[in-house]
Amino acid sequence: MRRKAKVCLIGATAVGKSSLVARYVSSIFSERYKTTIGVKIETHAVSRGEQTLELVLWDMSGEDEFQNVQPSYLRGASGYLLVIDGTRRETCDVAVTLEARVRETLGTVPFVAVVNKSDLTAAWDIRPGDLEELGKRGWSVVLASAKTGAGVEAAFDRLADAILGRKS
Amino acid sequence: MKLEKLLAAWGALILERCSDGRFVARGALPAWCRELKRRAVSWDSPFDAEEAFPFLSAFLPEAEAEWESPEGKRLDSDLWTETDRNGEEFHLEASAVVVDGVRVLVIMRNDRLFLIGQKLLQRARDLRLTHGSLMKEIENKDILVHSIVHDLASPLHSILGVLSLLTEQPLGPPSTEWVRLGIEAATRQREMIADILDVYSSESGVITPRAEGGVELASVIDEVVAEREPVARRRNLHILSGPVVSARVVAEETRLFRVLTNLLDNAFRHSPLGAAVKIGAYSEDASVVVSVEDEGPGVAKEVMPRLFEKFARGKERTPGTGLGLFYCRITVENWGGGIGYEPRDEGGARFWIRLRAAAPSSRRGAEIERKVGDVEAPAR
Repeated sequence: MRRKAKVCLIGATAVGKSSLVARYVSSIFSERYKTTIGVKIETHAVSRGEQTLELVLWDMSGEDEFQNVQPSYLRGASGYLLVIDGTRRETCDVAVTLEARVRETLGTVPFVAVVNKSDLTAAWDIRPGDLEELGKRGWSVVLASAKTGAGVEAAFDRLADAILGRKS
Repeated sequence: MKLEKLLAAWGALILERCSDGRFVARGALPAWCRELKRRAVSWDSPFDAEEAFPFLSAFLPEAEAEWESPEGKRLDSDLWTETDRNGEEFHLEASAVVVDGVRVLVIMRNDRLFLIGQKLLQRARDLRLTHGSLMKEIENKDILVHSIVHDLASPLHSILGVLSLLTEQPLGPPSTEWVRLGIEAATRQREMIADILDVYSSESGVITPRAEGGVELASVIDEVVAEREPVARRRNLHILSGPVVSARVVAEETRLFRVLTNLLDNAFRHSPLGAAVKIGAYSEDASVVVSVEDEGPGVAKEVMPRLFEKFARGKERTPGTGLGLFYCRITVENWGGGIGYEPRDEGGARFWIRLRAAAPSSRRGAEIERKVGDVEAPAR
């Protein structure tokens, strides 16, 4: 059985949304920061037994003073990845704001908070207490690195399972 | 020449909306459309537009609304990007129009517009990120400097303690003088360290509820004058205090003490021997102005524009960190007040700070407010 699911990637600017998609879909990583305009759409199939879930990934432009996450782009999403940059604490605040906005637009849909750049823990700005706070909010948090690939598959898998209603 | 071929050559994919909500392609397919290879789509027969271009799920509801409206204006989407199986990116935009009653979607590949937009946005975001990382670096360095300065102060307290003990010992004339000089130098260094630490704490500070509660200005001025009198005497100067209005002002006592001390010390540094330094306070509108006047040479014109900036000093270097007036400015500004300088007609400098009168929250506050009106601004 084949099923499609729209998955959005949202978060502050330069947190690594596109890099996570590139790592997940094409197993590649580039150090060069290339900003996303509007939205970039890619697909990736995930198999779960006899089921195939085709993830339609909406990699959205970062939230900042120049561009906002468009509510119309969220329409029909089965779930989303909320991306945070571990080296910039302020991106955690942006994530909290965005989560509230998405909940207002979509209601309750599965999401996974991905704290990216886990390869740079020495330069991390986010403290263990901040992660605990996110956990207390009931968020599912995954530490990942688009650069090394660590945690990337796990984050998408966890979301895919949540969309399929499975326990990961 | 066929118009449809021209449009295809132009890069336009023309989709006509069928009555069931699906679409059919009209005319020739543009090259990019063939390159993008949408397996699920048969362009010749009706197809679901969202299957072909998932982005249209966000755009079509708005397009439908526009098609329904009597005006039937053209509606353009934002740019979006699709990727083919080889990783090539296609930057697309859609327009919804009604032509002769037919609802039409025109999808164009527009790499040029995308690249221009991306270049601009990339530049803006790069600058924003650079600014953010620089600010973080400055903050980290500030913390480091603060820690170092703080650590430098600890042995200084011991030095001052030991020197003070020495003054209680029967020492010969040259030794007594050396100890006095040592205490003076150590005290000066302690004040410089206090300046730096004050600036650090004020720069990151915001107005606190304690400041909003206010302090009795007259008593702080009395304490500062009493504390600085010996310093003035040692320099053969005298402090003239008053008149001082009785008022509560928005400030924190310890910091206000430092601000007034800085202003007095600044006046001492520039006063000739035997001169007077005046301090007074009067009400002005909803504020209270504290002024400190000296009989020195006044501030050089070239220094005036940056007088209250960090390290602003004239050609003639006087002792100090160059942070005292900067600290005064950021501190009173944190309280919603201000600071200024003006030369005196009779010669010398006049520095003033304006502080907000604290809101009277009780009968006692009302009494204080009434008293604020008792002392008017001096004629200048």
